Amino acid sequence: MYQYFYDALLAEEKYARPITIIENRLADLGLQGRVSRLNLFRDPREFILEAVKRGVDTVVAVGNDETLSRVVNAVGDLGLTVGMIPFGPKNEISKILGVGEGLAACDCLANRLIQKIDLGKINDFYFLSHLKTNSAVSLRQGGEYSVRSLGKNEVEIYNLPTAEERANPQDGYLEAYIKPAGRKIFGKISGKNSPRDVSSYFPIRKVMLEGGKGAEILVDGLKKINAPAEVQIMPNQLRIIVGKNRLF
Amino acid sequence: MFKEFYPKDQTDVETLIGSSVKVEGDFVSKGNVTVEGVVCGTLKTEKDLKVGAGAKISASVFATNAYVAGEVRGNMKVNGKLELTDTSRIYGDVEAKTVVMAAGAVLNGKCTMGHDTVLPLPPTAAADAALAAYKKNNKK
Repeated sequence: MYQYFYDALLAEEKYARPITIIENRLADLGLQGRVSRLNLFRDPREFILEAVKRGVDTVVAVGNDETLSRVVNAVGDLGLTVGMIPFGPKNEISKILGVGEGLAACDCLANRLIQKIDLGKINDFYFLSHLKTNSAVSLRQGGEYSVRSLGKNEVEIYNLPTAEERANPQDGYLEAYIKPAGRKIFGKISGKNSPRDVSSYFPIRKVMLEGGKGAEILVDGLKKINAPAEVQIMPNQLRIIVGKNRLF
Repeated sequence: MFKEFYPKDQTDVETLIGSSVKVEGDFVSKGNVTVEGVVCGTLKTEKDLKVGAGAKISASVFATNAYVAGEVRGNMKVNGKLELTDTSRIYGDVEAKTVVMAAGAVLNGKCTMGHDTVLPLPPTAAADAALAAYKKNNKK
């Protein structure tokens, strides 16, 4: 059984016809299910827990990266399968997963190519893609070692790969990047930094992110969490529907 | 003179410690490691280690193969080949199967090379053997 979560942006007039086309296609494929509309005031986890009681085993996020992130965080460790139909701007994760757009996304759901991937967790919040912070934050891996920057740096932690950062969501590690701050202007290294100031990267399993007062961590571009925060990998935690052209 | 230790795109490098980063403690990796910054404590990798020209390591180092162009203050144990470039500075004991040392490299410490089964002669026995060979050659 399927449960669909529509992002609030799909209430706009311009999405009415595309949504109708998608819904017709899903009905033709036998993938119809109950629809819930997300908004800022309701936690999607409430919908999902109700859906689990009804026997739903697949949850589909219809919207953009933020929609998928909210659904993934709500699913967490419930063992459900997650799918996606991308709509609107800010849809980078769908490209990484190899999910097409429009009718191609429906066909991807029907093919039901499922992969188990790692899920990141920061404190009690699950994240699918990445964390970013532009404050002076240091990493401490248990009682083993600590990493701190000697200059102004940005710390980014990735679970999914991007065009610039490599990561493997099936290797049991998160990839931590420490990048010199102000490094890029239109893709080129700025004059203030030496060309030898390269980014550092290393695989991590569980670290504490520690920073000064007011240090904030942006999770999946959606939620801000204050440092210090514990970040860890949950290996093979999430079942997700992917396409053949995925980047991992 | 020395070939690139890794492919130029460094796709095999699993860990890169950049020039503006300091690592303190016991750092253990299962893949290739490149150090361009500062490491204090212990550095262990099951694969290859590359120490850049600007790197400063104050640690005990363990690796399968190592290419050193920077500074290492501590003992190094390399199971395979240890390459020291002209800018390398090692202050500590080194143990490796093979050592390749460029002119200008600095190594201040004990150096142990070769297979584990071949035990080095004690200093007095080696000197006696050299003296005996000299006398034998000079008698002729």
